[in-house]
Amino acid sequence: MDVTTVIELLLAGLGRGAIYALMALGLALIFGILNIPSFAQGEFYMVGTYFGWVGLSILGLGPFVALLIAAFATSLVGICCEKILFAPLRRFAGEEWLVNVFVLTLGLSLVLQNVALVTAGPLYYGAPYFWGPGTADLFGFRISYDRLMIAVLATTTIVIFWVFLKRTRLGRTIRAVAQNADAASLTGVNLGRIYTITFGVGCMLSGVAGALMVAILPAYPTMGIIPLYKGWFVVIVAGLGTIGGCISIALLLGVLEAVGLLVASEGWQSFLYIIIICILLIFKPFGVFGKREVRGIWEK
Amino acid sequence: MGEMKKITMTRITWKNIIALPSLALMIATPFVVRDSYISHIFILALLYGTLAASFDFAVGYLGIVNFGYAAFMGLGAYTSAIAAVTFGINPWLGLLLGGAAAGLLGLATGVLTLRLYGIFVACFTWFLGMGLMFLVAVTPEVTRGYLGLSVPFFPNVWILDFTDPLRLSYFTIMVILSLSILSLMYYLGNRTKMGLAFRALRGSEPAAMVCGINPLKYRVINFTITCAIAGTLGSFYAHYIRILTPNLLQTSQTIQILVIAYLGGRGSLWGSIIGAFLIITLLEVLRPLEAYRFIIYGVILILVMIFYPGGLARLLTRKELY
Repeated sequence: MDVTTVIELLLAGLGRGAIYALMALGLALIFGILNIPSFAQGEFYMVGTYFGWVGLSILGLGPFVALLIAAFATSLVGICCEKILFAPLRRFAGEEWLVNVFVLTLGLSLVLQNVALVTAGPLYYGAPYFWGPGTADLFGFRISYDRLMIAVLATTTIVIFWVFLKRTRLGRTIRAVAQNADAASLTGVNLGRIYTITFGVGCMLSGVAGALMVAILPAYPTMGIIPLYKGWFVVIVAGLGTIGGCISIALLLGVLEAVGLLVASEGWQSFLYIIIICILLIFKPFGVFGKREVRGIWEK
Repeated sequence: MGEMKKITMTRITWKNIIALPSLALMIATPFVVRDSYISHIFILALLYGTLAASFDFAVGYLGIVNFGYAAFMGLGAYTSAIAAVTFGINPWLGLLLGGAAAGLLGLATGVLTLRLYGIFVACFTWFLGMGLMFLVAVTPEVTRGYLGLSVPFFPNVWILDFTDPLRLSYFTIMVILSLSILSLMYYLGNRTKMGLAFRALRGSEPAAMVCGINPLKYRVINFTITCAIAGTLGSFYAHYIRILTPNLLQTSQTIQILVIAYLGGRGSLWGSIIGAFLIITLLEVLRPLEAYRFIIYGVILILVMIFYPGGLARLLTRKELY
C-alpha cells in the first residue's frame, strides 16, 4: 500500500463525507427549526435521486441542470408535505407534538417509498456517469471525474447553504426562529412561512445529496434508510445545533469509511463504528460539539 | 373510601361486559375455525400486540423510546436458535436464555445510556440495533447471515404437538406467554412499589426525586424488563417461524411495533393488543393490493396522527390511562 492509494482514498472519502454532511445538515435544520425528528428524510434523498436520474438519463440534460431539477423538485415535494401534513398537525397537536410528528414522518416515509415503488417499479435506475468518464489528474493523484465533481458540487452546496444562513436576511430570520420562535414571532416574523421555507431547504439538501450520488447508488424505492441512518449518526455524534460540527464529523466519517475499506469489509466496519460511537457517546453524551441545553425529543 | 370502591366496581363491570368475552372469543376462534392461516394471523397479532405493549411499558411510563427494539427481539431469537442448533439446548430453556441475553444487553445499555433522555436514547438504541444487525450479517459461520438459520420446532409436550400444521399448539403457547407477560406488566405497574415509582416519575421527575426516587435506577429496571420480554418473545418467534435472517433485526420491524403501540394507544395494555389485531388484519386484507396497501397504511397512519393523536385507546375512553 503506497501513499498514492491512501491519498486517493482520502479524496474519495471526502466526497462521501460531503454527502453525509448534506444529509446531516438537512436533518439538523429541520429538527432545530421545526422540531421535527424526521424519519422521512431518506425518502427525500430518494426523490432527489429519481429526479436526478430523470434529468440525466431521460431528458439527457447536463449534470448542472439535472442537479437543479432534482433540488427544485425535492424542495417542492417537501413544501407540499409541510403545507398539507405538518402545518395542520401543528395546529391540532398540543403537548405530544414530538411523538405525533415522528409517527407522522414514519407514515410519510411509507407513502413516499411505495408511491415510488408503484410509479417506477422495483427496478434500479442509475446513470452510467454523473459528470463524465475518465479520471482527473490532481497534483499527480488520480481521481475519477465523477468522484471529484460530486465532492466539488456537494462542497459548493454546503458553502451556498452556509452563506444563505449567515449572510442573508432570510437566513437571519431562520436563525432567529431557531433561537426563540416566540420572540421572533413578536418581532413580526411569519412563523408559518419560515417553517415552510426551512422544510423546503432541508429537503432540498437531501435531494441534492441523492442526485449527486445517482451514478454511484442507483435509484430504488427503499434506498433512503442508509443515508438517513448515516445522517442521524453524524447529527448525534456531532451534537445538535452545530453546523460546523456536523460538517467536520461527516467528513471524518467519510474518510474513515473510505480508508477503513483497506482494513475491514463494509459490514464489519459498520459494526466497529457503532461500538466506537457508543463508547464515545458514553463520555460525550451530548455529542462532540453539542451543548446540554438543546431540546430533545419525547420530553415534556 | 367510598369513592375507591366505586372506581373498583366500574372497572370490574367494564371488564366483565366487554373485555372478558372478547378475550374468550379471541382465544376460542382459532380452535373453532381450525385453519392454519387464521391461527397464524392470531399468533402474529398476539406476538406483535404483546411486543407493542411492552414497548409502550417503557414509553408510557418513562418516555424511553427503544428504537432498537427489534434488535433486542432478534438477539433473543438468535440466542435461542444458536443454542438449540449448535449446542443442542432444549428450546424451552431457550425461551429463558433468549430473555436473559436480551435482558443482560438491556441492562448494560441502560446503565450506560439512561442518564440521557429523549432523542439521544432513541438514536443510541437505534445505532446499537443496527450494530447487532451488521454483526449477524457479517458472522455467517455462526448465524448463517442472510442465508438464513433454520431453527427446530419446540419439542412436543403433553398433548401439544408442535409439528401440527394447524399451529394450535403454538397458539396455545402464545396465549400463555402473552397473558403472563401482560399480567406481569399490569402487576408491576399497578400493584408494586416499583409501579408507583414509575408513575411518580411519569408525573414529574423532579418531584419524584424529591421523594427519594432515583430515576436512573427505575429507568434501568424498566428498560431491562422490556428488553427481556422482547428477547423471550423473540425466541418464541424463532421456534415458530423457524427461519432467521438479519432482516428480523431491521428498523422496519421496530417501526411495526411502534406503530401498533401508538395506533393502539399509548398507556394501555389492551389497546396495543387490539391495535395489533386491527393492523395485522388490515395488512392481510389489503395484501392483494401489493404496494398500494402500504400507501393506504401510511395514509391511515398520517390521518390518525393528525386527527386522533391519542390513538385508539384515547378514542374509546376519555379517562387518563395507566
